[in-house]
Amino acid sequence: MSSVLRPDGAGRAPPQAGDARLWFGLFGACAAWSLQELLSYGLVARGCLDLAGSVAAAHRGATAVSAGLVLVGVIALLAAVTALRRVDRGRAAFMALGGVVVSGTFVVGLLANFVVLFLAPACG
Amino acid sequence: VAASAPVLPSPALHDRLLKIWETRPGLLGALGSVDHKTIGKRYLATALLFLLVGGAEAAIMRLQLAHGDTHLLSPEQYNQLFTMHGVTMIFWYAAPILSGFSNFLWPLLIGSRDMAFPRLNAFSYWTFLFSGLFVYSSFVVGQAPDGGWFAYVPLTTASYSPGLNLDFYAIGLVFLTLSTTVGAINFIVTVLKLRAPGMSLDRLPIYLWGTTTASFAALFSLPSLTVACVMLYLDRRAGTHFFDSASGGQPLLWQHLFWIFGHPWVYIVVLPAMGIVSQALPAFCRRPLVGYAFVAMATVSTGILGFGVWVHHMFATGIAPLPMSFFSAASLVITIPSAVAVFAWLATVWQGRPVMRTPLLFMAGFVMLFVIGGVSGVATAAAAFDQQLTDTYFVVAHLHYVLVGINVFGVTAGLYYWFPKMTGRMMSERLGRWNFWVMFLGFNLGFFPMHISGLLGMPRRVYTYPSGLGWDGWNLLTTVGAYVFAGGVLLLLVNLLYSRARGAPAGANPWDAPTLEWAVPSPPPAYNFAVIPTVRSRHPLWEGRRAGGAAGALTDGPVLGEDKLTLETSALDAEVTDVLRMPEDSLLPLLLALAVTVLCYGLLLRSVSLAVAAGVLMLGLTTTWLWPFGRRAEGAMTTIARETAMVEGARPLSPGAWGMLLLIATEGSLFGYLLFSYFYLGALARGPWPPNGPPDLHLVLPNTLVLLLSSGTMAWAESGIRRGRAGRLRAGIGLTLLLGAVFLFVQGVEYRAQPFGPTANAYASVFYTVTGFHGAHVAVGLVMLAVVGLRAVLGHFAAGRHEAVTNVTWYWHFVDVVWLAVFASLYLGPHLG
Repeated sequence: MSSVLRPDGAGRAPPQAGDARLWFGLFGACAAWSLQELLSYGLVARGCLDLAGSVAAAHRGATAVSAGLVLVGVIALLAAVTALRRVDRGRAAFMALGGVVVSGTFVVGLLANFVVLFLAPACG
Repeated sequence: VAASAPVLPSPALHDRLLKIWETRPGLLGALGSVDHKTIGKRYLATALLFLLVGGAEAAIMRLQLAHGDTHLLSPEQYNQLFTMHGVTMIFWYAAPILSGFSNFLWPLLIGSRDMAFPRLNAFSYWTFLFSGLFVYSSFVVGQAPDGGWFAYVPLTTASYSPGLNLDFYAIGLVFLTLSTTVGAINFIVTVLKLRAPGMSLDRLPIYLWGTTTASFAALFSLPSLTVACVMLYLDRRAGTHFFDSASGGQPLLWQHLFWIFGHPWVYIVVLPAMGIVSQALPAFCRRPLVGYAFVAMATVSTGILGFGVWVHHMFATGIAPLPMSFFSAASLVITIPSAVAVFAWLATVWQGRPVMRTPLLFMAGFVMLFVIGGVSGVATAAAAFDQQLTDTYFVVAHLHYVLVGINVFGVTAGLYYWFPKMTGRMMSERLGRWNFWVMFLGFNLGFFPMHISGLLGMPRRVYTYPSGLGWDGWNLLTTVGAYVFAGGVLLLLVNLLYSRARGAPAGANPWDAPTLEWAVPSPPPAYNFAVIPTVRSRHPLWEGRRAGGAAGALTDGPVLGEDKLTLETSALDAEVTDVLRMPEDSLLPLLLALAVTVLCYGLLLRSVSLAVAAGVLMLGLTTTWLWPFGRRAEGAMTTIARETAMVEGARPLSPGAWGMLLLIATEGSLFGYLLFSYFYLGALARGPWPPNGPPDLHLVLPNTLVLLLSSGTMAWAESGIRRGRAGRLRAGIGLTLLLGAVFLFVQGVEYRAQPFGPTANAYASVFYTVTGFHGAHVAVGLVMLAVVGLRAVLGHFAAGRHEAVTNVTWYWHFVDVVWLAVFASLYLGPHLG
């Protein structure tokens, strides 16, 4: 019966070393972007309400947080690129390539959110 | 187009499997069916009916707007029609029709015999149907929802809308979220756990990426709508003040909550439609989809980005420029994954050998409309330009290009593509071409001029307008186009009905398509696959045609013909982990959905007795549902393979465990949105927050310790049964029940000691709602514990057979963790300043 349920070993993938890196490459940048969006919005909006100190302090806080999260996003992208170089096919390669696509997209989002900090007036 | 032979079992095996899987004949059999194919077709038919009803409402409105100064409808009638049109199309057509496809197709696409939770699937359908009927029953009393599909407060509060109109809306939508949430959990668990051996993550049919992403999005976005609707209902009928600015509430809180849900919902109704196109396109281009990984990941990226753009619906509400810019940037970035998908489709056509059949026509139309709708979306994402566009017909044009262009054209392509599989007959090609051109020309004639009406300043949601403002001609064109488009939709229905009766026989694979659903006869037998296939590529039916392609196995593999069985596989690599025994048909899903309907009418009529009676009925039905009558006490669905040592090694999370984790995830989101509301109201409060000073901790502090202790006793109980100690399980559950009851009692005492009631001000409203929701979860947890405790007394559990205990333990820990967040936010936070 065992061979019936596992016909010819089909579906068995070799253990994937570095799965954590694959997952980080896949979702690290989008987690960073989510945090950046929420924290930047929260800090600046509260700053504009004058509830979290001065607007300038809120802006500085948002810039620092944002810069840190851009870095996290870039590291996730690099992790995906590195993983892609180490695997050539199968599910791991798919996840690595997926990480490059997803993290690449979210790094653009992270940079866009970072850049607008210097382009738009904080509270109008 | 070549037709490949289906994989057929021997007559004896066919009869045996049919006897096991087929729904009993007769009305009761039909009502109790949990067959995914039956449920999928019911979803499709019901959603198409809602499309017709919503379309009829639009047709009446377009008559009114064809000329200026027309008074065919009164303002109140018009308000009800445009609201019901939007609500119907967005909630009861656009998403459910996609659920119809997914329900019918998923097990066939992944080589399974059913969805992970077939009864939950039936329940999802019945609640979808009854919630729609519930909202439409508002017409019977002449009080249909009339505040627009996004029901902005304060227009929709009791002061400005005292009738039942918005009560139907708020209760009906929460009712529908029940259907969508359980459906989403079912889809996710199915794709994670029921795939054919070998169908690793990189071999998933591309269609599944769209619906899986949409299902995750639903789990995390729907709770925001639930919170908003509960608050609206409470403000209207219980006198709370969430949106009442005179008492510390914030009207903009509604907009935040609604759009945190609303924008992901756009992708929920779009991504699966994109998936249909990505799935069907290769069959007509005679080549695999170009950039599979890119399209799959673009889908995931879009779903996640969809959560970060909600404020672009609120650009005209006075939000400061920099916060707006973050959301504007995100709204522009979302064009990247959309463009990836478009270029992948174009490249597939470019590199393939296109066969111009009706499904491909609709797919081509879809791509064109997708691009137009996307470009107008970029326009509205630009904050400065959006100031000019907000609440004009430009936005109406944009949303129709997105929702009709992408959804309806994608869906119609899907209908033409999979109709042969569903019925065994081809749809008429001649009618299909007429169908496409009438719909395509009518749609563009109708909806493109709306852009111009909007740019000329015509506001949306006006029941009529003065002639001579330059809008008449464009509106007349829109009306003519809308009627032509409606004619196209009618042609589709004619073709469906005609072909159902007289279409040419289709055979198993009339399009020579590459995926598993085309390996079985058309229509598929009740058991789907005679043997569970083994997969080694993304195109199991095209293996051998492509150089270097590995061959899977469609004809030999496990038969699983002894009972209602299918395979359970691992989430990432689809290795066999177990065999699942699937549940029989049952009337319980229908009865439970009826009980929920009664509860909704009880809430609508504010009849406590009706609501309580329905609640008791629901409790009884749910317990009956989960009680393992006539089956082995624990693991009734599972562990057959493990018991017979066919599969060894540590078992990964079971479908039931995944279901519980996903339930916890969506419930966690619900509390997240409640706490967001608390902090939002606090941040904008004009006076001290809380108004009466920080809350007293004398009762709540020891009560928190009581609840934490109950987590310890439950963990002790669960670890006991892992070691086979049934006595420890019973003692631990008993202690947990006691501690949980003490917690609720002390919370009641604390409520009585509060100097304010829930209607005192916005703080009081949110305080009682957050703690009350948590208390309700504790109460539900206690009921679950009581049921599991009773089963423990009856000896249902042993070492290795305790999944229900583990699931309830997780739920109980979750309730405790939520309380820690509530305690830190509502009690400790104010003391810390």
